[in-house]
Parts: sequence; structure tokens; C-alpha cells
Amino acid sequence: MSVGESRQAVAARATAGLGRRGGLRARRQLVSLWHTVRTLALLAVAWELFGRSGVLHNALFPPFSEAVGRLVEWARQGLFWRDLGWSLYRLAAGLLLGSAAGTLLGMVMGYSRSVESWVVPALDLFLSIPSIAVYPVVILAFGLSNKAIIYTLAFEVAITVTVNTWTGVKSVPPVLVNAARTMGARGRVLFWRVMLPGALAHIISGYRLAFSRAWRILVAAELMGGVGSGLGFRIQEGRAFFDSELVFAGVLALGVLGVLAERLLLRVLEEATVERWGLLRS
Amino acid sequence: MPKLEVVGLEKRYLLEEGDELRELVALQDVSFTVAEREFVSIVGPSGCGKTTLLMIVAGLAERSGGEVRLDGRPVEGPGLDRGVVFQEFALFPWMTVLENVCFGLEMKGVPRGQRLQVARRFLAMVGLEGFEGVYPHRLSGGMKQRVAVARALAYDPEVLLMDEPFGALDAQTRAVLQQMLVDVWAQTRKTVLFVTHSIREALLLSDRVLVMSARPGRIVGELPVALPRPRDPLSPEFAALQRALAEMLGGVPVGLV
Repeated sequence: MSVGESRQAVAARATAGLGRRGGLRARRQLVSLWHTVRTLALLAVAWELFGRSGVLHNALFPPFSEAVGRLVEWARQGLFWRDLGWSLYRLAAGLLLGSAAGTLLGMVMGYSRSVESWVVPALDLFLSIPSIAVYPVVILAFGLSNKAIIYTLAFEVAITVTVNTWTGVKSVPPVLVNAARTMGARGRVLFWRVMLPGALAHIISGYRLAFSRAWRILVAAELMGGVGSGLGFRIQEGRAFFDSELVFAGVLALGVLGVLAERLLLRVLEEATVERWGLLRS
Repeated sequence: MPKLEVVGLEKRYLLEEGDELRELVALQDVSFTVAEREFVSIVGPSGCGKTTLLMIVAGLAERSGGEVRLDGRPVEGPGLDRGVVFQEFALFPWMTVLENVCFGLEMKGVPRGQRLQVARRFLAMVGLEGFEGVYPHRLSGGMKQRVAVARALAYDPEVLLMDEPFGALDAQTRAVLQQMLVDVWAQTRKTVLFVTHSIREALLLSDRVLVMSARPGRIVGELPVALPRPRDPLSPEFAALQRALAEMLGGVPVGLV
């Protein structure tokens, strides 16, 4: 801002900029959607060409179009929606349990040094255990059941979210905490109004990481069999009956669902918060 | 009775040097008073402990000895009776300009309608009408510090503590904000304790300047500034005070800062 310029002019310019922002945001979203679509389209074409090239027999590596055809058939039978429903139910339950516990524990760890000193060694221990190795342990307790998968997911999600939330709280600039304290903020107010929003960029990236890890473990656990439903189970079944189109259709469905979740849930949350606040480069 | 009293303030750190612990005296027997509606600056070289001193008065840093009294009552911990403006602006990035200014008022328990009215009045005072709904990351450094000044004044603290508030700004913006502070102070007549390393800034703004020396940090001199405001830094009277203050600081070449 130059010294000579009237403040009203500057203010007017800033407000004018605000008015246009809705249109700009829609445009930016279209552009980012286009970026996603063009990469995925290219991959689909490459898959199709490779599948038709004859390098591998079609029964081993069906082209994209046949995998899509099998996916449509799977959906028409209604079985796909049941499998999807079960997988999403397990995922959602695991994510909900794990992220609630992880966010809470991470915040408390960032807040209290004594809790931190107690929990960190345990966290280090759990971090070094791959969750898929936890699954058999959980099965011993809950049998081959939904519960076993959900608790395994919750374990992985909780660990990931805890670490990220804790890091987030620790990296809230001390001067912001001090500023809030000089204005009388303490205890719960300080927590909700300063610590939580200040840590949100890290917390969201923790959710994102936890989501992709949970997705992998979910499918791996379903592949290990025993639950009789779910996308992973169906892929395994396709392999057992040498239905390679079904195997590829299943893998394709997993990929597309992951992309959708990222775009529809995590990005939206990010845009509404940390990106708007300038805490994350857009 | 003075508004703010600092009596025999001490601050010692333990420094680890290899296997030995060495005691570092950051502040030694610092005593001074600030009268009601007085604007007092503390000038000293970097590392002399002036920011530590201000943070102790704000209740954000522990002291090793001595006492801070506000209106005769000893001060423990931070509180709404002292408004603080930090060098790093310290605006909450997740709140709009208006929400930032409202925060202290909200903590004080002022009802919402009144909160907005008061916040708007102070934003206008620092020249930021029209920016209420903007998030801080869209503002320049100078505008951010205007918001921070409005935020610290809005909940009407007894004293305003300012820690090199214009230190992170370019020279031109700095001059504009110094003038803004003179205007705002003329309107509010707050009691101000202002920390800076700039002789010129201290003389432009203050009724009285305290001079600090480094290691250990002590008050080594005091200079009343009786010039009428607005002050002209190019006048002979101002130059004479500038020279006097520079000599008290230990011979810093006159006019450089």
C-alpha cells in the first residue's frame, strides 16, 4: 500500500476482489477436475492398448474396456453394491473410531508435557508394528468378523492421526498462544479457539494419510478372507475362480473410489479451512 | 500513585556449557514507573533483555525476582488489564480481521452487538474500515500491525505493551505506522510501555525514554522528551535529544538509527 493512496480506494479494491471470488473458485475447481480427468484418461488408454497388444494373454491381463464391462455386470447383479456397502461400512467405522481417538489423544499430548512423556514411547512401539500384523492378533479376540477388521483399521487410523495431530499442536506458533493468553484465553477456550484451528493443517493431512492407509489395510484384510463380502473379498474370489476380469474390475473400483473420496471429502474440508486462511498454498 | 511499577526485577537463566551450568543474568535490579497516560519507551541494543522485560510485565515470562505492580496490585500471569502488541503481529490466521479484533472483547464477556460496534470503531481508528471480512494472510505487514493495535486497544486494557511493533516493517511503512500510533494515542491517551532499538522511534513517540544496557540488562539512564507533538525529526531540538540518547547508549553514531 503506497502512502499517498487513499485507504477507501484500497478497501474498495479488496472488497471488489471478494465479490468475484465465488466465480474464481468454481473455475479453479473445474481446472483441477480437468487435471485429474486427463491423467486418468491417459492411464485408461495405456491400459487398453497394453491389454490388446497381446503381450499378456487376455485371460491374464484383460484390457480396460473388459474390466469396465465386468464392473457393470457386477453392479447389475447387485452384488457390487453389497460389497461396496460392506467395505465402506468397515472403512467408515474404523475411520470414525480411530480419528476421534487419535485427534483427542494427539491434542492432549500436544497440550500436556506429562501425558506426552508417558505416551510417546508407546506410540513409537505401535508405529513400528504394521497394522496388517495386528489383524491376526485382533482376530484371536474377535474372530473372523467385521469387528476384527474395524478395530484393526481403527488402530492404524488412531496411530496415524495421533502423530499428526500432536505434531500440529506442537507447531502452533507460540506467539499466537501467547497473544490469546494476554487476552484472557485459558483452558478449553484456548484449546478450541487457538490450538485446534492452529493445528488443523496438520490434522487434515493426518486424516488424509490415515484414510489411504486404512483403505489399504481394509482391502488386505478382506483379501485374507473369512468375512464373505467386500471389494477385497470379491477380488480374492475372482482370483480363485480365475475370473481375471472381476479381479481387474475390483482393482479399478478401488482406485476410482479412492480418487473420489480424496476429491469429494478431504479437498473440500481443506478448501473450506486451512486454504482459506492462507495456512496452505492453494 | 504510578500506573505501572516495576521494582527490582531480576531474570536469570541457567546456560549449559559442556558439563557446567553457568548463570546468565538477563535483567538485574530493573526498577521504573510509568504514570497514568504516559508513553514510555525502553531503548537498548539487541540482546539487552528489553523484550524479556516486556514479556515479564505482560505475564508471559517468569521472573527470578522483584515485582510488577499495576495500579498498586502485583501482577501474576497474563491478563486483560495489559494489552500486548507483538513484533510478529500474532494475528489468528483462521479469524477475519473483525473476528481478531473481537476476540479480546469476547474473552472479556462483552455482548456480541456491542463487541462488533467497538471493534469497528477501533478498526476505523487505525484506518482499516472496509477490511473487516478479510483474512490476515491477504494483508500487508503494515496492515496486519494496524489490526494488532486495534485488537489490543479494543478491550480497553489499563496499559498497552508494545514489543518492537514496527521492527519487522520497511522504513516507509514504519514511518506511516508511527504517525498512526501518535494519532491513536492522542485519541485514547492509553498508558504505553514501548520497546524499541530505534532512538529515533523512541524520541518520536515517547514522553520519556529509558535506556538499557546489555549483559546484565539494567536501566542506565532516563531522558524526558518535552517536545510538542507532532515532532519534527529534522529540528535542532530533536537532533540534540538524538545525540544525547546516543551518548547514553554508549556512543552509537548519531542519526543512524
